[in-house]
Amino acid sequence: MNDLVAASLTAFWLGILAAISPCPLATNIAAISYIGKDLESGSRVVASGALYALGRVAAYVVVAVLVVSSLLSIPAVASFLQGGMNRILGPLLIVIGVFVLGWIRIPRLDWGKRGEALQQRAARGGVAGAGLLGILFALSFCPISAGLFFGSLVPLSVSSGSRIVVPALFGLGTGLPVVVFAILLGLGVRQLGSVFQALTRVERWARVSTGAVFIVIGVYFVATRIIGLDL
Amino acid sequence: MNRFTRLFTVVLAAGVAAALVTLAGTPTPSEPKPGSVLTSPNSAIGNHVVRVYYFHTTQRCASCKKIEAWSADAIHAAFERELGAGSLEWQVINIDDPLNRHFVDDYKLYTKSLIVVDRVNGQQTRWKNLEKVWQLLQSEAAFRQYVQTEVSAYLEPRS
Repeated sequence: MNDLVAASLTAFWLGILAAISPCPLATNIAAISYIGKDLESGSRVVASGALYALGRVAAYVVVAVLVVSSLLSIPAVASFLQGGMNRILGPLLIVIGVFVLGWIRIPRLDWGKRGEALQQRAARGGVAGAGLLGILFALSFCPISAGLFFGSLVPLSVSSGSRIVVPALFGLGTGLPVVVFAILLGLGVRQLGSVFQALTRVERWARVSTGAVFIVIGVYFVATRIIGLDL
Repeated sequence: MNRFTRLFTVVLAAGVAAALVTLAGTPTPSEPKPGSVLTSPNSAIGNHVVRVYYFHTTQRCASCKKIEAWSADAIHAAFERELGAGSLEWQVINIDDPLNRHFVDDYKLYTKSLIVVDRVNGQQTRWKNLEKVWQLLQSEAAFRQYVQTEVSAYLEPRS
């Protein structure tokens, strides 16, 4: 029991180490920007932060289970998650940014009011989008997250006999900066809302800046991870 | 959508398409830079040699450069005599070079890695991935201590 507690604490600390390194800075900025765009509701900001962290937890648990169960070899899966996923990430962030800005709209289907609501939700990104973003960013391994996950977390998961809890706490640690930000912003929005009612305008600008942040980070990833520029 | 945003969207779409086309093609790994592989000139073939590899890819990151620099400093500061005598070798290797790809399988590499290898009479007898380097990036002193301790353990003759 004590071993599991020690392993869990270590896993959480390893996650924090991965989160505060310079490597995931760009994705953390993108996540914070995405979560912070729903300025109309503080609770929605906090829910987005929680779902983002849950997305990360789910991704790391699945990878850990597959690796610990020897269903995937570590060098092969690490190579794909650091190489392939990181190359996909740039173009994908640009596309998401363009959708968030509303420059491209999903073709309107004749689904009546329900279809319209769906369209609006898709354009907003929605709270569920934060969960998907968490999964996507967790699976785009940086060298340091790969080093800590495959080199320290997986052996810890094996030695403690915990295939779920230990990787889950690692995932929670990696999402901690974004969760803390979401809670602070959620509380701040509540107070801001009581001061003035101009949130709709603020939210519009938040959405524009989110789209712009996604496009800029997407272009950065394309330049560094596909073209190979050393920026 | 005004003319500017339409034009910008088209430019971005073209960029994404170009990126995807690049992605579809196999990227050609760049040639290793001259001097990136540093081997001691006095390799002591025929007896006990410890070799420390730092494996990296063509794409570098801040943490990866830090690991390489701190490792080189730690090794040169503590083992100048062994490096000069050829009983210790320090090598920096780009695993994106096709000639070096075999190292990925040889040492089960999953990211940029610092590997210490024991060689006796030209044959590799054991090796270790110094995985804790990733945990010690917040403290250079602890990092140096860790690397020097591990290399010392390999330099000592085995009973």
